[in-house]
Amino acid sequence: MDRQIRATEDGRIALALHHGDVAFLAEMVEMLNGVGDVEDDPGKARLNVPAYLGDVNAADEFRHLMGDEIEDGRARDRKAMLEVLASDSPALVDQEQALGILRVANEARLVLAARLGIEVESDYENLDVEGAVSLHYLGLFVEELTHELAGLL
Amino acid sequence: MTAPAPVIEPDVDEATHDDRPWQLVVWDDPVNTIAYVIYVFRKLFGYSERKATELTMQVHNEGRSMVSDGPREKVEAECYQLHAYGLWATIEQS
Repeated sequence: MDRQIRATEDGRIALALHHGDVAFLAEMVEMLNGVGDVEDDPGKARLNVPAYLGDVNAADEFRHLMGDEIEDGRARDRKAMLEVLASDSPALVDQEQALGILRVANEARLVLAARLGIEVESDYENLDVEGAVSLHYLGLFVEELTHELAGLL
Repeated sequence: MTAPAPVIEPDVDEATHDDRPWQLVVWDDPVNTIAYVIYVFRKLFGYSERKATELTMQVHNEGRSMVSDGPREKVEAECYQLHAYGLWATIEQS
């Protein structure tokens, strides 16, 4: 059986995604686009960790200087990912596009896990089925894509 | 008779300048996978697989690892990149 994600001989990444994969990943992008719409969202807090501990002023300044740039980069990654998801399968992407997809998939794991209350490893044991399956799927996707990208370093 | 030597006031900025190097610290979290963190360290810092793995395992086993250091501007730029990849990174002075 062909692998879902594989590096090609010319240094690109081929993504063979089924309809179910595309629908789920698009749903994850939509979820990420809504981060911040909910007050006290732990997902938002996880994506915006302070750069300085114990120095609120320095952390605020860092956020002021870098925050918009990080958010713009995330928005570009998500938009590019949706374009890939809308294309025919298998989609062939270059390494930069693949890196963007990797960041989005990992970002979705972080947000989901934060919203599900995962703070330590043992918290995984208390997940409901839907949360566990979603995190597991994203984990496999991230692992597979990471493996192929690492082979291109 | 010679004139008194002028009193040289200390340069306040210089006197308070703290040139201890800045350090970039990555903290353990239960979500980012070991393979992902190793890859990010190799990609962003150009570390060998061995060094990236050692740092990642230090994060995993000890809770944190100092992954880079240098002038504040450099370390802040690296911190920005790690945040963009979803790693929990902070900056501190040694």
